[in-house]
Amino acid sequence: MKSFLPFLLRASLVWLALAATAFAQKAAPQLTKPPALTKFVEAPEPQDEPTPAGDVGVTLMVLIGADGKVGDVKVTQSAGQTFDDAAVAAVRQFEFSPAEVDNKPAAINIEYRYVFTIREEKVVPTTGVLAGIVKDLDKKPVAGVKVELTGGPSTITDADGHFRIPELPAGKVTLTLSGDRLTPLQTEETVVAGEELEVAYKVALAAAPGEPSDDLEILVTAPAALQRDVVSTKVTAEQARSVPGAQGDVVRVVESLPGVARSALGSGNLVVWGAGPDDTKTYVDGVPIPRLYHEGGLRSTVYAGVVNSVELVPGGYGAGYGRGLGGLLRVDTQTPDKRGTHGQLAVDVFDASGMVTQTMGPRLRATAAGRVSLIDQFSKALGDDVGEYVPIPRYRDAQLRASYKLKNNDTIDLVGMLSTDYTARGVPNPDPALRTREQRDSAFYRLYARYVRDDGRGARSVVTPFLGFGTQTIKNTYGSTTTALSDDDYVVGLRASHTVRASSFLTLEGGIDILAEGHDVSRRGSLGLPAREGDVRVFGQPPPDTIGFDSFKTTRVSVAPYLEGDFALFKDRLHIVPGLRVDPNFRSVSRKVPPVEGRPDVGLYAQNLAVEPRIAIRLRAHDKLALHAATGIYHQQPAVADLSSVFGNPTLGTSRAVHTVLGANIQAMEKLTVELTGFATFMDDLTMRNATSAPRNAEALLNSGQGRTFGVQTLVRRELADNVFGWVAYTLMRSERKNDDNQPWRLFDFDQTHVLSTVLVWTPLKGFEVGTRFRVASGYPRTAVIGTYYDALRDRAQPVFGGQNDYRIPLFIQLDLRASQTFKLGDTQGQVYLEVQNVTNRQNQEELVYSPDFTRRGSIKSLPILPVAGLSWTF
Amino acid sequence: MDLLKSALAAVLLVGCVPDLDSDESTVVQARVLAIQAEPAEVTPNGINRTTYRALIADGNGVRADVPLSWFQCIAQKPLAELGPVSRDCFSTESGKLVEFGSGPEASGALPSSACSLFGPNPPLAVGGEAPGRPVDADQTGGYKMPIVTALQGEAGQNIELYEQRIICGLVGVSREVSVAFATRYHANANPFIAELRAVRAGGSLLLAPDQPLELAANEEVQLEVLWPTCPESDVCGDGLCGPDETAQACAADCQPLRGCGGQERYLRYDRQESELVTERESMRAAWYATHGSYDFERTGAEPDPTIGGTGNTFRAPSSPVSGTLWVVLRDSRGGVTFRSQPFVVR
Repeated sequence: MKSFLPFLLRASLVWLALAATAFAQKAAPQLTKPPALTKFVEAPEPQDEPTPAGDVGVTLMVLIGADGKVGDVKVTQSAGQTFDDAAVAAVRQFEFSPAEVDNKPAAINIEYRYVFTIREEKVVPTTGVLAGIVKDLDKKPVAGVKVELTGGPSTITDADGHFRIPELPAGKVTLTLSGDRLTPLQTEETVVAGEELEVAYKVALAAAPGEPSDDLEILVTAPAALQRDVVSTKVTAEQARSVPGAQGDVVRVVESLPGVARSALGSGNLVVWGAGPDDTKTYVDGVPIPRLYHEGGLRSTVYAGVVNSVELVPGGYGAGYGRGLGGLLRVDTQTPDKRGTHGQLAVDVFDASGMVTQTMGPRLRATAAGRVSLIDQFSKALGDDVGEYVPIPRYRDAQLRASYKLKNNDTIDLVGMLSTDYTARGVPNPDPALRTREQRDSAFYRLYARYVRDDGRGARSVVTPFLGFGTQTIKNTYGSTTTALSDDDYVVGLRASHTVRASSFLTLEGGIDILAEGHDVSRRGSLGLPAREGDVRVFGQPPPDTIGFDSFKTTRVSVAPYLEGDFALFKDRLHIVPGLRVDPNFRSVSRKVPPVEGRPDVGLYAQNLAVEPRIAIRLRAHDKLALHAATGIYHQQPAVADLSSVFGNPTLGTSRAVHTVLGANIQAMEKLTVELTGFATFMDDLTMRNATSAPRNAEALLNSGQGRTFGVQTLVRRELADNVFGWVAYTLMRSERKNDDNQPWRLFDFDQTHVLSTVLVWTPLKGFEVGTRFRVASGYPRTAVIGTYYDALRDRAQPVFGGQNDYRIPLFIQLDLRASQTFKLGDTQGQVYLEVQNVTNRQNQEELVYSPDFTRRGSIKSLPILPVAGLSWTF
Repeated sequence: MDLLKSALAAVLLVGCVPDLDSDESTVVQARVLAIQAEPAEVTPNGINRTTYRALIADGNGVRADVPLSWFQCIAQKPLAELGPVSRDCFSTESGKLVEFGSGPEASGALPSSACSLFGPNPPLAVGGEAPGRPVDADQTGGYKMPIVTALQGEAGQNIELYEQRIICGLVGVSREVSVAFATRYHANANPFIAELRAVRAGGSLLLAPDQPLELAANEEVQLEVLWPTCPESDVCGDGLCGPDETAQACAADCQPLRGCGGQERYLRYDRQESELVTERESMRAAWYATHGSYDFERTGAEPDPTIGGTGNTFRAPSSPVSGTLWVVLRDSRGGVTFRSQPFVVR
């Protein structure tokens, strides 16, 4: 592809003007013999510069000494820093016969043009090669071992035990070694663009038929990943980017994963396996973030370009994580690993974004990425009245990253991220009592460092200290009733873990998960706003007009050490992963009782010890059949706003959940897996409103609630092969809640009996990709209005409700399509995409609404057919 | 541009909201349009009596002969219920309803326990338990006791809720603030309709309750209801008792208490700022008619001393008819007044 014209001194030797001029004007001294090049040194062609075919010349001013040696070399016409450096370095090694002035050797300056000739267009590599050898314990090559990358290609070791997989995307890859006498082993490697990674694996083989079986253990020198979650769905960024409905936003692929209920339009709620939206925790590289989506759910708060993968663990996860009753969403990010300067610019109807990555030497690289919403700008262009009615999302997010490679397997990343949101809307009315206004303003910031040390022999350490700040303000006005909630918070934490292969059958991971947070909360308004899960109300119902006020501060500290072991038994067929997480936590609240003028506030200090044993079992019953089971105890602290002495209860305790998971994984075909998982979750001490008619002071909320969820989840997944990947996910589930012991079980507000999500992405031609997503989901349960009475004080009808959550919104069905075309723009790459959501223009119902007198019922419809186009440029 | 706005609205995830408007201004079947308490605000002590008057109307005009039963509801609202009052207030089986009269007018005395059940005075702690939670005040600083009526119309029974504003004082404040509030807070007075006018192209016509408004078929007329404007500051001797006056300092205005009848100023304790603040009432007007239609079902005025009324456009029916229109004024502290006006379409 690349070549160099050796010794093509097409560079003209031009005598320095100064010398020539002096010679001409003074007639003496006179150049009697020009210098002649006696030794040429070829300059190495720069590898990191994208360059079109043709000549690239660097013009230099070269001082040749009286002895013919090259002295000072200066660039007078640059061709770029890397070409300049290469040319100067080569010319410094040139040798000349001395020039003669007046027949005597003399120093002279000459102008020299060094020309690189590029015969073929040079493109910066984006892929790398993974090659290596597999040997047994006797160091003999093992042939026939299948080396397969998760979600990628595979190969078989040859007779010499060698394998080679070219054109792998740069970054981390997970590969599995398997064979007739080899129980599948999994390990991770990091592929560098433009480089070939040489690896060597040493494995122990099972005894061949007829051979004495004295070697039953499996040994792999590569680190063995400790797989603690028996049910999880991981999607690489590359695949997630192609999923319809997400507009290229990698994190939004979560909506299409199994176990995730379809969130209501514009809510961005993440409801997993019947847990509340706030019960599923989101972590970016192990750092908790308060919100996954911007307001309206249009975009995630993490820029897609830095996301490596998204993994959803709906339940039964290991001891490394806690503080949540529901699932776990892990977003793994990375600093893009490309040499030189690269980046991306993208724009669509929602926002514009950009990212730039720069390598600084062989070890350091940095990335800056940012996104700004455009939709608010569009609304301004269309007139102010649109913003009066419609919640215009205005959002920003940014990430700054630096990654430094300390040694071959040690890296440290320093990451800063921010996200801001603002929305406001209102409904004018000639009656001041019916004017409404809602305003939301929030932001969060995170700064963390992530140190990873991997000794290549099974030991791995990860240390992630972090800190952050956040702010949230919600104001609602309904007539003269104004409610406001603000929360300013800080968070400091540390997550550290060390994994070690203690023996041939045991991998241990120990760690600590520390989180300290402080909140300054102020709330004014009605107890009924914001609404809570379990509230009997209708959409748009005015809040109660009683007004309270409270402001308080709370500090919470949780120090949770954990230990987890992976016992690999019976030739690695059985994995038993017991774990224990101990979470002592402490809390202070500045007000134990509502404020009384003239009296000092009385605070509260509380402590709790949460002991959380967990266990996961994986059994490879057959080469194509794996069984898994898990159970564990999980705790969650009450929401900060619920610790108000006026609106909540400062003495609220932690809520508890028990997850139980049982399932099977079937390798139906080479690239087709079928997962079937049954799950049950039991929750108690959930925070509910105090149902008594004469509640005690500072007990508006109680830990009186219970919950239970049962379900079955299936996932049929086709890994990328023949340019096709996709999955079919279906969840059948029932989730219930009980407000207190005196109340009957009822449906959970976010219960969805059926959730089906089908994703299929096909690349029929190079650069052209089409995808489809088809979703079917039960509607949320709602409490129907069965009567009405006239409120003569407020002059409006008030609803009389039937059984709680006895009515269900009809089935949601939607088909989305996406097509994208990637094309070359010189040395860069462009992409244009078109997504059409709700292709069939089906009128799905999102929410029940009623006429003002509650005699007629209708529904808010979902989005009509909606095309969304966008384009991006990658350089 | 409209298309763009519609598209933007769709993109912005509002979806499509159905048109479920209902015509609340046209009176056809017998129903209660308003309930007025006199006095509008009272100290509940089992002695002070309040007279309640219901405006009942149907397509023929005011009805005084429709059976109406009056109940006091003594059920405290659980915090878990988001409606204005307890659900037990609508069930005769709850044992929480106390009947005190029938017919379009009834009178009764509120129980002395009202400020414990519906106000800031929780029952005292017993046996070392934490004291009960006081009820939060409304946005005007007031507390209210539910009054329920049951109207037996031709189409069945209608239930109505009224909440009587009660004087309970302040809890959780210093003695100085409590005393200042007790002396400077003056019970609400029902608003007063000073004038009801019809404005046509030819001029303005002052309407009289016994004088039908004559309209042409399909005629549009601007109706304006006016109330007295209330002063921005209190002056002893002006005949009005404001929040900066006390019975001791200005007996001429405050003993007996004389309200303004319009958007009155009143005292409210602001718990966020821990101070007494002076507020002004807002006013709402509800418009009804047996025939014809209005531009708006409700209009109103923000708290503003310069606003002395509100208006609405009434559109006469297309055929000759004799009918009645009503306007009901409500101030933000629960005071109510109403006015019936006959009209004739020639």
